Amino acid sequence: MSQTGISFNGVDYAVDKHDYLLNLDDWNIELAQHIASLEQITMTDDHWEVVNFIREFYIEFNTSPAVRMLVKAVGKKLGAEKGNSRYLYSLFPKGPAKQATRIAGLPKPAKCI
Amino acid sequence: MMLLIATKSPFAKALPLPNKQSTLLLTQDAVLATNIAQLTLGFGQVYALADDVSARGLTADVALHIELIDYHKFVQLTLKHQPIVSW
Amino acid sequence: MKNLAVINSSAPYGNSGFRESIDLLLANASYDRPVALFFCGDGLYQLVANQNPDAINAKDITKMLGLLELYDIEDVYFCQHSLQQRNLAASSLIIAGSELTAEAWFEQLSQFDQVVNF
Repeated sequence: MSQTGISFNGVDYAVDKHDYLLNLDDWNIELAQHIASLEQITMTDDHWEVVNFIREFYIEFNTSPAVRMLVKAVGKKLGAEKGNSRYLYSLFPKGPAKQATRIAGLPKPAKCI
Repeated sequence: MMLLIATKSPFAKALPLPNKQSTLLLTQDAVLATNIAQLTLGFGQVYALADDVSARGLTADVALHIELIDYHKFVQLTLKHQPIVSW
Repeated sequence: MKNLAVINSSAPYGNSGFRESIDLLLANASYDRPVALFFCGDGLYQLVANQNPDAINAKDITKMLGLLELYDIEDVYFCQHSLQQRNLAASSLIIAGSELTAEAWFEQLSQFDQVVNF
């Protein structure tokens, strides 16, 4: 992915080479919505549930979950009907871990599809 | 029987603790342990790669319980042991 | 399915071995492969409480150990002799595990099909 940066409300945010926010503390709900729009995603409660979950996950475990770990963790926390890749891909078609971590303002998971 | 393959100097990284369940093979810098018998007493068996010992000039001082082997025997050991653990 | 043992025998921060060992463990566990975690020698220092990796600009990998529960990884083994040599107590380490004599620790390890040492 070529880096295009994230600009919002006149602020250029620091990003890594994959266009993920560098600073966890830059994140806020409006910015998340803006990043979602860059990913062509309209945020619903279901999206927020996953994005908030993934942020809590990162803060607790200090790692961005790759997709299998995300599926497992979501299943444990939110139930089996959400802890499967079909559901998560329906929310984040280009890869749940990849897109949800970007919207959540976290680093890209290592070796992530 | 487990095969422990040590590669680092015993002064840089502690060798595995002696245990009768394991065969120990000293290679590369781990052969620096060959002239200090007490470091490797207590394993099921102890081998050292002769070329690595010779390269470092230690052949004459190898402890009596350590058998020097060639690459062919090295391969045989890996075939006869399970699991193989790099150390 | 072949089971897998992951050993940590090296001290923290000198290399990225601990991070890699946990990644390897979790990647395998996520495919429901039976796995276990072994600690001996300086590897026990990975589990000392109150580490402050920020002080040397290192990442806090110990937080990832919380993931062991998520993956139901319960088989953790400490070498008792290594603990005693280093004046460490199993009870003060940040995860729970079984404390085994050196002989028993290697006996346990020999039950595994594949072993990777970090």
